[in-house]
Amino acid sequence: MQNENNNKPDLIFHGAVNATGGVYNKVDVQGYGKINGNVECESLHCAGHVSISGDLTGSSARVEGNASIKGKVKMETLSVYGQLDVADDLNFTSLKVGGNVKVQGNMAGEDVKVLGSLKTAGDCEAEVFRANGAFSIGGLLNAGRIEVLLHGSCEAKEMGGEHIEVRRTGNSTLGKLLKHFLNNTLSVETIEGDEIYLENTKARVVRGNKIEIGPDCEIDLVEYSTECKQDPSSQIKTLTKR
Amino acid sequence: MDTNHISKKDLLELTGISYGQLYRWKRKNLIPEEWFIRRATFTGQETFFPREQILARIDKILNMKDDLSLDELADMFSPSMSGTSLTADELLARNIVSTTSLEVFNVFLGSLRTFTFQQALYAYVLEKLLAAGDLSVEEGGGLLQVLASHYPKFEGKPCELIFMRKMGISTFVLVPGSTELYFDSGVKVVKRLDLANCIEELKGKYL
Repeated sequence: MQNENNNKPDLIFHGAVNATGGVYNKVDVQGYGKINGNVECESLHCAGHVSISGDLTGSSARVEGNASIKGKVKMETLSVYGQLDVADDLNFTSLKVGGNVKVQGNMAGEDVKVLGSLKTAGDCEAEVFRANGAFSIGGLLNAGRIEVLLHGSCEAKEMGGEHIEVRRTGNSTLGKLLKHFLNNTLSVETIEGDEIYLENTKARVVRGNKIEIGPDCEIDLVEYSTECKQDPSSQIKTLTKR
Repeated sequence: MDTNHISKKDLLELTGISYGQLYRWKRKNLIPEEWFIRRATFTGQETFFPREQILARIDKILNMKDDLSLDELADMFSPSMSGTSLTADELLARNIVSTTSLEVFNVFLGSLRTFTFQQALYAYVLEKLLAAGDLSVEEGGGLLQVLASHYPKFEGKPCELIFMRKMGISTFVLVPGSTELYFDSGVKVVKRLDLANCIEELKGKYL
């Protein structure tokens, strides 16, 4: 394996460089790089600006600058502290969004952690989805475990999974002050899951087995099968047991 | 509401599975994306499924999930080929082919000692059509020829085999999944076979 890697060249950018795609061991962009074609690499590190006109595949990538990929991205571990734009689908094992990630297609993987902001036009599928930042999901957010700590406004068209938990951030003085400026709510059309706990959530429909509606929610319809608790500060228009 | 589709809510009630399970199976690709059909209803958007397909699939998952992991199940339901190969004797022992269809296979594609999954699939489709009495032994050659030369191009994507006759002359066509086709009135469509289903059945026999 080591030998195999040694046969692959490194692609290192210092300054402004145009390069062609191909199979590389390490891609390191310090300046401004433009790559024409698909890129396959062991690791990608971008501290400057890189744009790839094709697909990107590899085992690990760290984006500290700005990366824009016109095709699909498939990476095992991907961490973004700057900005990443993907024009197609994004596949990963673990994704950490410290900065800003925008995906035009669908995204799927094992583990997602959002500390910055995540935006996808399509669906987002993962085993564990943890958000401590902002997200906007155009389609379905489907994860075994969804844990959201609201910072800024979060939205999804639909949410579905086994365990779904949405909480607002702690009652710090700064938080109270900022509350008037920031709209810390989750807006979603439908939430479906086995166990659901919600705070500060606006939804049309919430369906599940065991549902607890915490403070400051506005929900049109709640359908539950085993139990449902409701905080008095929340509004539920219709509550039915199925 | 038409009877060919079932709403998500009715489906869960009927099968007794939970939202969590349904979403997990979707994530694991046990239920294909195309089966989730969104429609506007008076309560907003709802998800519907093709009734027979989803009920059969959930029944299978529930029956087999104790013996197989979700990943193994996903592998079984996926239309892509698995790498396992079997010998001719094993194919016979597992009732995948009969001696008759094996002989037909040998005549047209040569006598093989071990069959790849793909070759076993061709033999299985041949067996199915011969056993149903739809196909004559001579026509088997045309079937095997179209499968062997064109099926690999679908690269595991859903695809349908159409077997038709016109004035006693038989033709085989491979088309991508769920395409509508119209023929002139002299054509008799003898059989339409969804190859993804055949793969699923065959994988069931492999286990």
